[in-house]
Amino acid sequence: MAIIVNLDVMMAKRKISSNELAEKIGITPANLSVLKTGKAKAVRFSTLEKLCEVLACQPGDILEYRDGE
Amino acid sequence: MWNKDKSIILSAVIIKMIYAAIAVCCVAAPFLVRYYDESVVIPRGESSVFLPLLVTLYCIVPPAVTAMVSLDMLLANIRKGQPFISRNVTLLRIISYCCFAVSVLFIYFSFLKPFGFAIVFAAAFFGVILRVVKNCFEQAVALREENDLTV
Repeated sequence: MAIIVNLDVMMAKRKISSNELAEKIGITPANLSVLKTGKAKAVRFSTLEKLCEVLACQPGDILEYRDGE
Repeated sequence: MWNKDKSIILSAVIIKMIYAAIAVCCVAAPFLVRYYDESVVIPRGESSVFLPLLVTLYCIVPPAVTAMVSLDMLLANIRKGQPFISRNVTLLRIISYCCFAVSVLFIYFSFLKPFGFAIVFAAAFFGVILRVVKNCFEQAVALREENDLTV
């Protein structure tokens, strides 16, 4: 998919574990794993909002468009 | 009070009854066809349809059993709470092919007896309906997968 999820990069920058992030944004660790591994087909605005809030970043820091992938 | 669990149980019971009916028909077919031939066909002065009808009936047993087994598996998946999975789409496709097979197998007999056309038409009609239901299930599976992968 042309949309790349850089969630693991942001998590490493903020030094936050998957379980802790999942708990803070209110989703299951399994769903967070789906998002991290790029298997997700859609992200709700509410989830994105919480991710940006917890990781103190912008949507563009988490999602990236790469041509031809 | 009637509910969906009871409805599924009723469907399962009907499927088991049809299994039994198929088994009984397999054993009793020669006697039933002989009776039909001697009491309906021959008294009218028409030529015997014993052999073509018997061969046709035995030929439709494999697609009928395949359809019933597929239906049983489909119902088992629904009972497990998994109606919209790709396996069910395959099962519906198999059942529709079985209907088309029955329709094709009855074509020869329909030339001998006009009511055969009704069976050819009914089986083909069920086959088409099941294909449309299968297409609906295919869309539902895609929607469910998308929903499951929405975070």
